[in-house]
Amino acid sequence: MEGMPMTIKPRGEPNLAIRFGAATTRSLNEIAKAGTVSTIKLETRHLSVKYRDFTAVRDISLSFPERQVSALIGSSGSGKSTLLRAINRMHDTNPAASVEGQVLLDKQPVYGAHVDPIVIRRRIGMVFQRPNPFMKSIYDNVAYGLTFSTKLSKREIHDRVEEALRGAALWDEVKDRLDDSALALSGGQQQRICIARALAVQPEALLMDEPTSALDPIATLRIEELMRELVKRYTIVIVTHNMQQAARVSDITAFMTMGSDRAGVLVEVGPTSRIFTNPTDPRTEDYITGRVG
Amino acid sequence: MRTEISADSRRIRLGRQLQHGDLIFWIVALLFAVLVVVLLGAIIAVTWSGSADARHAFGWHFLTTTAWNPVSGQFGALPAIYGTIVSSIIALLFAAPLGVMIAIFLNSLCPAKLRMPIGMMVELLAAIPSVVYGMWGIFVFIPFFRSYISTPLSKTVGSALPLFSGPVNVGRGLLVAGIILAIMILPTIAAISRDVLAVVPNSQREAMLALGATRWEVIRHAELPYARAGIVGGMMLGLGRALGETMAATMVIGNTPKIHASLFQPATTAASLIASQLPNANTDLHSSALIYLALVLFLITLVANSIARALVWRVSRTGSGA
Ligand SMILES: Nc1ncnc2c1ncn2[C@@H]1O[C@H](COP(=O)(O)OP(=O)(O)OP(=O)(O)O)[C@@H](O)[C@H]1O
Ligand SMILES: [Mg+2]
Repeated sequence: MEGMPMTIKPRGEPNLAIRFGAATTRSLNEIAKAGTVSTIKLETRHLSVKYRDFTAVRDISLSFPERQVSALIGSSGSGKSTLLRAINRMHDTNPAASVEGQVLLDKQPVYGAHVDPIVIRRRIGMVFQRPNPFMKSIYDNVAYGLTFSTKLSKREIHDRVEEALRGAALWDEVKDRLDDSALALSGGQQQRICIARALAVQPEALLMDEPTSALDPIATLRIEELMRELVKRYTIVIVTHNMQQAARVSDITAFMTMGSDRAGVLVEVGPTSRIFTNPTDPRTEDYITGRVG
Repeated sequence: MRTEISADSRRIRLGRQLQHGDLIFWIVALLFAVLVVVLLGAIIAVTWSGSADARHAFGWHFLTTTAWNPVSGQFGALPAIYGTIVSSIIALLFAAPLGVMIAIFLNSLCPAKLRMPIGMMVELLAAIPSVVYGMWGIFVFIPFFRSYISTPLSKTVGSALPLFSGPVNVGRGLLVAGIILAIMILPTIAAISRDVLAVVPNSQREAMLALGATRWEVIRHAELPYARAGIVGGMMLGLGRALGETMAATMVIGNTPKIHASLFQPATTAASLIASQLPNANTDLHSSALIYLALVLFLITLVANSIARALVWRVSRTGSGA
């Protein structure tokens, strides 16, 4: 990798846009062929994120089709989490972080002048790497987002909690002990609590940052099944280090890598099946075959 | 034979764990730990034996009677107990919300540049000697309090609410003492709350944020519940300090061992009664009664601390405790 940047850098950035443009057209065509024509739910345009002077991701343009799972893969430090968190404005509370470029939700700018980040975060839910339930009962964990964000009656909240727990494939396991502490659940169950918690607010999209990396294989499979179920109703973007997982759950895969100045850049994006069988960029091939990262 | 072997092997294991400096360190640590216990025992023993006369003379009635008359040899601790507890509760009522708000401000609302200086200033409050607080109380706060708080209050609601009834010209009294105590325990509560709020895991904050919580909701629903145990602990530490505070209370409370309904009237606390009377207690019974009072004060703080422990324990066991 050390010798490469010299040859890549001069043509690296302008090429990226072209390559990306081609990739998008192609991926949309491929999707159309597969019979699942999809509108674009989320989009980033020339998105760069800086932590003070350090550019963590540079010039990322990506489209996430509605009701599909898009996977972000790439080596550690390539800015996947940084990119993901830019989408629902989680960087807002970090004074060191600054975002340039655009994020569009249903074609509307997420970073628009009169856009309330609170509203954005309700529309785009997020699930984190480590299960992070509140120190509350199972029920309260799921109901929490509702109690302060909406004016629902007790009855309605109860229905939403049940719906969300069913949506997270957890209802049958916990329905008899909704008042128990969520911390008493297994890691996999806790993560599904976190998913249910996000679902209860009725978002349109879900961002998941390595949602299974702290879980065992069985729990991982359950979450993956769940994602296939959820994607019928939600747009999902998932960051994962697990190639098999990306192959199993995602419709679209985007590969990111660290550029010469350690900034994360997009290498290639396309339908998962093509990225894994026939990547166009040698770096993608190296990564997915396990030669790098 | 067998027990000998096992005792031997245990000794070997212990020996392995306590190599070289470890053993010395272990002994030194043990010594200090024992010293604390001995010290505590000695204090209890001295107050117990010193208070023997008064305990025999008054028994439990000491706790329930109100007369405090060194001349006639009548001693009842109720006014001092009342003053101690009420002034401390007043202090806590003012200092607790204020301290937590300061902590929240320093942690999540304050511009980064001001965080250090303001935090240090709050902590500096704890470094001011209590006699200075007392002086400030006498020269600054009491005149202010009399002109702007006690006089208007007693004139308006004083006749309906005995709590605020006059006369107010003395200035020194229970409420003034409570407020001065509040300022004194504020840094304890603020500093501890700030520290425990600072260690709330970011994952909790982000979980709340990602649900679409406002900044206030993140504080209210993620940070405060998580930090509750520590905050309660800070409050109880503050309460402990207020219960035992002597100098400032003595200077501003008026040192009158009487129970008044009005918070504007002079009162006394156990600590200030002891401090002001022990030097010139010229009968054995008088000094014995004061030592008895010290024993009672000791018990009060012990109870307050136990309640704090129980609270913290319960809160930390059930998580948020909500
Ligand atoms: N809050 C932050 N402040 C400063 N720098 C940060 C911050 N978060 C991430 N970075 C830096 O930004 C770069 C990208 O980090 P990011 O977490 O987005 O990578 P990632 O692709 O998610 O890695 P991983 O796969 O290990 O999770 C890294 O160099 C990291 O050190
Ligand atoms: Mg990451």
